[in-house]
Amino acid sequence: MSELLDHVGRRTFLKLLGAAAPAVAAGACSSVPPERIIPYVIPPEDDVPGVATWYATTCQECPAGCGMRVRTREGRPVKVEGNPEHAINRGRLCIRGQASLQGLYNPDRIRGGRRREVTNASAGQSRLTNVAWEDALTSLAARIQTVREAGRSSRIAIVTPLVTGTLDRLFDTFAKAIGGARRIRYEPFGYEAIRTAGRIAFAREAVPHYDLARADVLVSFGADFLETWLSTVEYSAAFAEAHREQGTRRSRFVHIEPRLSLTASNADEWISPAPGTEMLVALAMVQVIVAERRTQVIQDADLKFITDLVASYSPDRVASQIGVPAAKLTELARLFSDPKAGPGRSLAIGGGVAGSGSNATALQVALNLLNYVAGNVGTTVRFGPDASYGRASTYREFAELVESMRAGDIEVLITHDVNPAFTLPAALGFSAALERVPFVVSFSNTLDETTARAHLVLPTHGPLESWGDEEPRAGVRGLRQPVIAARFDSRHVGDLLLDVGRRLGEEVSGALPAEGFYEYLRAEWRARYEAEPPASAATPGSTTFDDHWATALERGGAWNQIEPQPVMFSREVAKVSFDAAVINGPSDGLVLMPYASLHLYDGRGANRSWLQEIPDPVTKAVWSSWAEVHPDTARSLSAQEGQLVSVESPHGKLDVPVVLNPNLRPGTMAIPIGQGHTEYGRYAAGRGVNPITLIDPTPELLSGGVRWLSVKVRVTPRALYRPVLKLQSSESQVDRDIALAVSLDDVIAGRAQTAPGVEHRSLSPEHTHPEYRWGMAIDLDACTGCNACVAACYAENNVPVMGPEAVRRGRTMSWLRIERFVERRDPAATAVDVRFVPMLCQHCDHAPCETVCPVYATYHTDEGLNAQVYNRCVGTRYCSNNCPYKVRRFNWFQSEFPDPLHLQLNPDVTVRSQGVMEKCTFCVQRIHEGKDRAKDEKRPVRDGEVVPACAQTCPGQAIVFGDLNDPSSRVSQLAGSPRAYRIFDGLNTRPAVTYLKKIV
Amino acid sequence: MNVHVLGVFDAAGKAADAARALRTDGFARVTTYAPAFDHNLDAALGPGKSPVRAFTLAGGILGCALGFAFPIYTVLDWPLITGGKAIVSLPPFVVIAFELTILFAALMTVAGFLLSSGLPRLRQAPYDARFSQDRWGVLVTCAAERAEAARAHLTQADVEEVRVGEGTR
Amino acid sequence: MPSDGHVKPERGFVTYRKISDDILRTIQAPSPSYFLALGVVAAVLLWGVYGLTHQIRVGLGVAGYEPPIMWAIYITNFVFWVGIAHSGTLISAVLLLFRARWRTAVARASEAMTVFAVMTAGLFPIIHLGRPWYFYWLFPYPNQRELWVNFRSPLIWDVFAISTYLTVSTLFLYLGLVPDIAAARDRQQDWRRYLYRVLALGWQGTDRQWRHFNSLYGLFAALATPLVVSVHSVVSWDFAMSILPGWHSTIFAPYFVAGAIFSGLAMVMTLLIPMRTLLHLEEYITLHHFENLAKLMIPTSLIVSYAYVTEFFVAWYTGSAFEFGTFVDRALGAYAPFFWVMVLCNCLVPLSLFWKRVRTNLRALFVISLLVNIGMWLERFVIIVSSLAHSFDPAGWVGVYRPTWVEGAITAGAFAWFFLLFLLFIKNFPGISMTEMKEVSSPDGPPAVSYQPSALRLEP
Repeated sequence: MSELLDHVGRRTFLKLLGAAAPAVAAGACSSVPPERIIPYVIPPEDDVPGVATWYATTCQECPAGCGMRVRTREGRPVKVEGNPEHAINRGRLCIRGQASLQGLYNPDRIRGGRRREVTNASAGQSRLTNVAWEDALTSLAARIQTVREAGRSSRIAIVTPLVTGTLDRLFDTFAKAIGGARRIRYEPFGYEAIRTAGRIAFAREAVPHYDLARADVLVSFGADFLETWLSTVEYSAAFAEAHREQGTRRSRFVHIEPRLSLTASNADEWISPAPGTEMLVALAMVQVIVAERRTQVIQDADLKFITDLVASYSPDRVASQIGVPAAKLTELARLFSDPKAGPGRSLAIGGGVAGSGSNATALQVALNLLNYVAGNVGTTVRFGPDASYGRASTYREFAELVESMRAGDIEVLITHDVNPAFTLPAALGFSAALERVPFVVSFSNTLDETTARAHLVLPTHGPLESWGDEEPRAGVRGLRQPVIAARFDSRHVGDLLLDVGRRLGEEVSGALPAEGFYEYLRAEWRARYEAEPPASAATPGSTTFDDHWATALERGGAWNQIEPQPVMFSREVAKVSFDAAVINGPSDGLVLMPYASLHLYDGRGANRSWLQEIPDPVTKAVWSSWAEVHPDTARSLSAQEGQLVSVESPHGKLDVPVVLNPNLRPGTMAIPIGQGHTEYGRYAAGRGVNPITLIDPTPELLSGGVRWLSVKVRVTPRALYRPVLKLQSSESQVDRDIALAVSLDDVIAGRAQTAPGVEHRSLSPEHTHPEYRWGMAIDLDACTGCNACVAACYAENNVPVMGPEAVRRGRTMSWLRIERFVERRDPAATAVDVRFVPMLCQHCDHAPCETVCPVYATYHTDEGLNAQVYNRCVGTRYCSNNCPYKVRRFNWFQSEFPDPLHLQLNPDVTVRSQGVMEKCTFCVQRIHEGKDRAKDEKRPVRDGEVVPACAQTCPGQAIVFGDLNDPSSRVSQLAGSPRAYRIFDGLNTRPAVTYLKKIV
Repeated sequence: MNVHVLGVFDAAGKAADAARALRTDGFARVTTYAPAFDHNLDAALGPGKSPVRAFTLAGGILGCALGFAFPIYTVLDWPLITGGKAIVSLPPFVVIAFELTILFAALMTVAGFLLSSGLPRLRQAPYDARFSQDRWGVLVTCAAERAEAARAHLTQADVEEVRVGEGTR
Repeated sequence: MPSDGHVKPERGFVTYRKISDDILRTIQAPSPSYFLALGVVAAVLLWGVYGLTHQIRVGLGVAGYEPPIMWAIYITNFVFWVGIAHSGTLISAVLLLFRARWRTAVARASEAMTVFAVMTAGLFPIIHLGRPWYFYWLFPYPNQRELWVNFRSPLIWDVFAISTYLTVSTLFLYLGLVPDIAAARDRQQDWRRYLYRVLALGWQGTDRQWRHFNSLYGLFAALATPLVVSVHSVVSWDFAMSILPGWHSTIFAPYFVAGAIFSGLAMVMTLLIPMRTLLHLEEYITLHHFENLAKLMIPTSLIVSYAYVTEFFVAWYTGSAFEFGTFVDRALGAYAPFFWVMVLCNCLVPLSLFWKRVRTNLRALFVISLLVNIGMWLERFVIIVSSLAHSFDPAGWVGVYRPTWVEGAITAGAFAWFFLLFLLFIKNFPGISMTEMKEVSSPDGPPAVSYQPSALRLEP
């Protein structure tokens, strides 16, 4: 730690100043920090050394726009957490959000402007060299100017991600001001089909808000809402709320997709249809519902219309095509719409790779029908609080842009934080088209595949260094504020636009009056504030704008409830042709399913070492790409686990090792998206494969979205083995009773209790816990295995990343791992029983590890903690041998935190040295913080006051921590629950962690 | 005024006879030398128990006591709970006590041996290098006037050679 | 009876002279082959030292550990060498108490082997530490932080057991040497005589010295015998006291002690068979001795085999999924080949010793002794690695242990270190106890190994 402090020293204080107060930060982030030495005798306002300062801001890892609270120490953000006040995520955060710190401190960030310099014109060789901001901006301005004056502004294109709020408006204004440049809001995972289907079925082109919390029956047609679909954290939390057992009530979740994804693993039932036939399932369900008159709140006219529409899709007719027994479909339909339960108690959602074939829109239309006949529209499907996704450009628009680039109609291409060279189907030929663009400028701070090809690279601030706001859905406006001064020589993209604007003469700069983006943002908010009648003001009681602004900054934004607006059913539906998805490729090939990765999303997470080293939730693989195939399929291909196969589609070819996955429909192959970068940094480049290169570039007809499910691939095994690194080998518990489950009926009937095992005896008198006795309860029924807790633990406890070489030897350092066990009774059955067990130090009262340590490096505190004294440990590793839970980690080497990742280290936690053992401490630093606070206020620690990082972020709230001495504490309550049990109870280790059986 | 009479023999039995004869004749200070332990020779100078065993016992008792006392002291010095065991958890300490019993017993045995056999010895008594190979010796320390008598006894026992030297004491 | 000496004085004379000559000859100027051996051994040792420095500099990660396999070859070596150390004390102490006179010829060599084996074993607990530079924290020394060691940890029992064993066996070896060193002192002409003079402590072989010496020797034997049993029991408790299936077993102590003696006997053979030729001691260390060693190996091998069977039976009989899983994995899992080689070497091969033809065939014995050494090494390896690889939580069954060159170097270096010490010893100290040889062959003492005419030519 000490050299770390030396390292940051003076610059930290500058940052400190930058992060101290918004006003200061505004100045700090608008340009390079002033080269002045601040004597520490003048401590920055509201920042006490050793005391954390929290700032509310908004996550920018995906368009869900979750609210974050950033914990800063001495001016360094060291931890991000969900903002409990935020309308979207209510204090929770996903694994990608947790890893956003590694975006800020990414060692491969571009550290200054770059310009392409031709080294060898004849050979067409060139490289990026440093450039001063002034020159860069002048040259950019000059370029734009020339194009403008030639009246060819339409030949300027601006590609941004789906930016919302003020920055979006600034981009628009800029594009308009320079004479109408083309503008693309590019999201690799757009939701075009949902929008289009909304227009077709309800004459409203929007992505509605789905109320999962309210749905007693949730049927997902490939929508991976626990991984990437729309607003992951919000929907995970809502799902957990509905799915949690409350007395006799517990929602039922059916997932329909050829692959048992993480989302499917959490379903009560998993139906694996033939790829691309989900739509038929939906129609069959509609048919049953209307045929059996189970429809709810729907006019007879519509009923008549729909009945005719779906007449030909009765279960018996389509069952064979789907590959699912008709009875199942009928049963599903009856479950979905139950007049006794009343309308609006169920919900059908769709998307993901399975739902994005050539019939993506048809599927969504079918789902709209389904929701409509079940009376869900307006209750669980809510138009009005629409998601910002509705405003993203369609993939087709981008495809057209690429077309004109190829045609040479684009003279200046401006990209900002997008990487189409990686995320667009290769067959679309973006890279080739890019060569035809004479001037490409990239506003980006990572050298991704697109930026690497740019002529001018202008590094921009990261989200945690920037001002801004997000409007993830109508009525929710999250604010983003800088929590640290720019680490590198970068600028705010808004400031860049304004700066360039000023250089483009009167009319442009006139349209962009603001001094800097901060002022622009404030002005925007002031305008909106004044436009709004105070009554409906998001923050009632605030009288002036300044109060409003301050409160908003504090709360992380402003939001108000938008009531669902009624929509009319539209007969447009009749125009849709409901056919199974067209999948091109060799007839004997496997259907390719490139699925979005929970960790890497569209690949933007690939250079975050946490996301690479934390095992994939389903395969438990790390640091690699793999192709999942069903064992039977593999047998027919004569390919084994770990064998390299070459996968060839009509559009591309790649080599990837096989992973056998029995929970995948035979005849398909699933490859995760996100790896296969050629640029993008040390952790990403040259690792794995990118399945997007295989898919069909033609947009889906109706919506113009990407057809992820579009090709069949020919798979030929090669004589090479590249076993995929996995951190869990066995999917079975081998009768070890680690993850227990109980049926809902048994819970209701009070039969959840396990038969009491042998009585625990001890030669020694029980030791006492006079004050506190810390304990944890983990509800396996609420845990979705989403890995957010694992990332939170990495961030909070300075857990080092070891890298693929070490992990190949199983030397991960993670203090917390999610074990995944699959109980398979009958492969034909649709019931899913996948159990996720967060496994961490159990802080046993009779800890086997303690007795065997020769030097007392681990012992038991009187608060029930199993303490590990790093500086006393000599590294015999006996404790690990004697730990039945195998949760202890050994430092095989001196861990490394490449600059500037070391700035993320939590000053409250030691960085462990080579040769010592480490493990979960129940976030003892937080326990101390809580106790100190309580001491200052002369009171005992309140229940829920101390929250470990894992429990804090858990979207399903599966983890509860507290004092077992206090019978009223939540943890004590749960420990007494009939579902409660302890792992390996027979060993008499008496863990402080109680698990609650999963309900199946 | 004392003299040393040293007889060198080529057989253990002869040396034993000589020693026995000298003893019966009242010579008090008779020492025998042998390249290897020899019961006959050992018996010649009359019975005698070695006190070494006493040292062993003492060492054993001391070690055992220490073996319990020390661990108990340390755990009470800074009590730390491990594995839910009692602070003074005797069973494990038995092992320590056992090992220390053996250790101290052994060390005391060595000490006892060195003390009682007067080793290490710096000032050398009359000696012949062959005594460590294949010769036996009988040394008589007596008053000068009795030297002749001693020599006679040695010759009687078929001595190989006899050396008379000025006694130190 | 005393007249013996008179009747045939030259008898003792001839014998004693010859014993002195023959045995002291062994410490005379060595042959080139000896120096060659020394050179080879030293080179290997250097390689080991290089490996160790590399490991300390870079980190323990350079070894092949794969969690949950946190112990592997280093601890295997530790247990192996402690085992080797056992037969020495057994032969010199236990057989002494049992008055087994044939032990005389082989006692000295095996005592030396004991000491050097312990010195080798003692290295590994340090080598395997994550922070070896803090090894002294394992000793309860007073310090200002008032930190003591955890006496509940079997590792601390080890510290006490091993250091006690090293002390006692070293003293045993040294004190037994004193009369012989004196003999060497009185004969040796080169520079070493000064060394001998110091080490001989002024020994003269007076009646007084001999009497106490005998008493001392007997007492040491009496102390060493329980010690030898305790030491390997404690070592076995490193495993038995843990809760790990495959380790947590009550039969470990006797099982390990028997195994230790078994392997020790094998190592004695491995050392003596070449040594007797190298030092021309065929007359003293004879077939008869090897046959007796071989006879001792039979019961120990049988006990070990019985223990193997018991382990499997108990694992099945408890009906514990953990226990049974571990042993099924041991016999059929990733480490099964090692297990079966072990069974071959430790259970089947020694059965051949029931045939006298085998027991009296030096070549056969040498091969068998090597196989047993290998088998016993594998036994410890299998117990440690396969049990760790297959512990309670199936999710943890990831690691497959693959040793690295570092572990190879250090292991080889340890063998080199052992042989180096042994080679140096036999060229500087009598490899066979002269005084005891003389004692058993003395005119008045009971007949020397008379049932073995080739042992000593008693008639001129």
